[in-house]
Amino acid sequence: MSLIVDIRKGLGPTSLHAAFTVAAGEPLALLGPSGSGKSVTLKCIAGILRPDEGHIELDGMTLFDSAGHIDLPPQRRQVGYLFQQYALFPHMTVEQNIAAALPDRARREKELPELLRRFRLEGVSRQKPRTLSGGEQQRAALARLLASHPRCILLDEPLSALDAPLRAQLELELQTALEDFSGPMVWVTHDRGEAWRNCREVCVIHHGRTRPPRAKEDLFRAPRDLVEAQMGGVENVFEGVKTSNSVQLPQLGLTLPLPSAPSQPPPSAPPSPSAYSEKADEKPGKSGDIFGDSLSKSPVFVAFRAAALRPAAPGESAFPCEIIRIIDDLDGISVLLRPKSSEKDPPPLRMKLPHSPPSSVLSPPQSLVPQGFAPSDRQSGRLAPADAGTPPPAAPSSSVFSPPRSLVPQGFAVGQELRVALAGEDIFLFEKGDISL
Amino acid sequence: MDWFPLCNSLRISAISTVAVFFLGLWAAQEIARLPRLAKGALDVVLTLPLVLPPTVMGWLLLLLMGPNRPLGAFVGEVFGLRLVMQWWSAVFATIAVSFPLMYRTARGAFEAFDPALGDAGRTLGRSDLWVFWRVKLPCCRQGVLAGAVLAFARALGEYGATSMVAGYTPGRTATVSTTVYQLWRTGDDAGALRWVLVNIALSACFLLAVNLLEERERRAGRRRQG
Repeated sequence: MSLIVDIRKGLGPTSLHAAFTVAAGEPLALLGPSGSGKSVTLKCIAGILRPDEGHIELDGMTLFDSAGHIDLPPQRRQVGYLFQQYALFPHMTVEQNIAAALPDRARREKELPELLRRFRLEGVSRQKPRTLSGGEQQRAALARLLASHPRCILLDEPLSALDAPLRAQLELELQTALEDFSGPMVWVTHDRGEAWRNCREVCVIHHGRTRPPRAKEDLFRAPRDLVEAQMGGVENVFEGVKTSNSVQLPQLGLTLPLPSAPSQPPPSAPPSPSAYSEKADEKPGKSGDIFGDSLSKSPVFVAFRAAALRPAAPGESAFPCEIIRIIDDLDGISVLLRPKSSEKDPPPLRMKLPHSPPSSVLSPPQSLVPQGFAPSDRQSGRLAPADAGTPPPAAPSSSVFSPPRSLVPQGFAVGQELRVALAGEDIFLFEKGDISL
Repeated sequence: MDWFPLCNSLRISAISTVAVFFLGLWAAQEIARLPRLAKGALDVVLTLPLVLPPTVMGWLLLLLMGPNRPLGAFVGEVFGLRLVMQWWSAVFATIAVSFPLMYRTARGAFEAFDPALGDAGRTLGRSDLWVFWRVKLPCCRQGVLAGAVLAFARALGEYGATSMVAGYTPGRTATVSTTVYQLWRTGDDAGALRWVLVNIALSACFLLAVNLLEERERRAGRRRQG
């Protein structure tokens, strides 16, 4: 049981080319920004829209094939489609909505009461959809969808129109309802968290092109190209030039070292301590590039996570930056940095730090918290220095003694200088091709 | 008082409204799917009768159905029937004149219809016909009904084209509007006034119905938007 999709369709100025295979029982997330062609792809699978060419196959049955002139109408595809706003028929009751998917009378009499019970809709079965809560509407839509006995289920941004608290609740209900479904499933979303929580495989789509689906862990830990990095939430992306063992970022005036195996860094390769270029006017390729000639240079995109940047320890190789903005976010502090070596107005570097002191309601303490400080100490009102003589450099010792006023670590202020370190294995490099930022 | 003109007007309007109801729905449904250029062109042609003087419509109808004209001659030869100067000739006139009202109102209602509802019905395995009659039409029923009532009211008030293709024969082709004209022409102001009052009362009722329907449609639309 699987769904095989390989279709092309002109979409105004751009074109859609979607190619992926979904195995039964392994929901695939189709992850992309709005306007990337996610919904169009689903509508082509369901038969609502017609691709220009290609092939769609479900369980060995051809749904669409341009070469063979096959184009089954939606009625004969047995593809269940959960619409973003559920598309319940507004003039029918819940019961009538579900019955609409059960034209056969014998089956209706048998299955309708079962579905109403299973989806806890007995109490509202005679009500019109607009009188239902969001949760009941979603359950009614799911009951109607499953009543049609689909062989494949497509979810078109099922949660994106909802407020956060309701969203979490409905996401759970959706997971529960679909647990028993054994066929292929495609979950369209622009929310990487939603993709991560609900699917094992993720297919990134951008400007109408899909990337081959990957296990979600691979996608988020080691993106293969710029689009995957951006959809995976990698905050820092710059244009760069790669030499044999370093990469230059002209906009920032930086040269960063690379681990010895350049493309996907093995964890063993440490950054060479002398490799950071601290001067803007230093010739590119000078640092550690034995060949140093332009033949070995290639334009690339350089990407790294904000969490991979960290304040450098004393003596560690680092590049000096100026703090240009501090954003106190729910899940930590974003520090926007401008490298001293950069000219003019470069796009800022983003660094993510945990809150300091750790806020008990938010994320758990991480590296910046001095050892021996746990949320319980703070709650009891005692503030004592850690046993260890020297606190870690990122949390200056003064912050240990002064009562916390803000969640921003002390020593961080706009305009201040900060030495920043970045490990070579945290850097992702992508072929530039013909894409631009 | 001879009530024949009223009965005749009502039966003409009723028949033409039934015809215009289905024709208008069909046109509104099919034309929405056409490519843009064809849609624009057909839209102009189908709306023209709304703005043309009814006499122009009458003249065009006579050009088609007159005893010596192509269609008129053909029907005359095959069925021995005259298409003009019958009471039912007026039906052709009222259809031509009231069709744009039904078509445009239905099209407006269809354009506000959420296509996802239709797609949902089709992915659930129901036929296009089922989706049209059981989902689309009920969802658009206020707008569609308003169009039908407007078309009926327009047919009831039709004079120009009717008088040209059906003429005025008392007791045979007379309608309310042609009777008013005839009574005024012969100086029977009192008789004309009676029919004028009947006409005003009827039309006011229909317009009231249209307003109520449109009001309900607006309320339903607001509810849907949330």
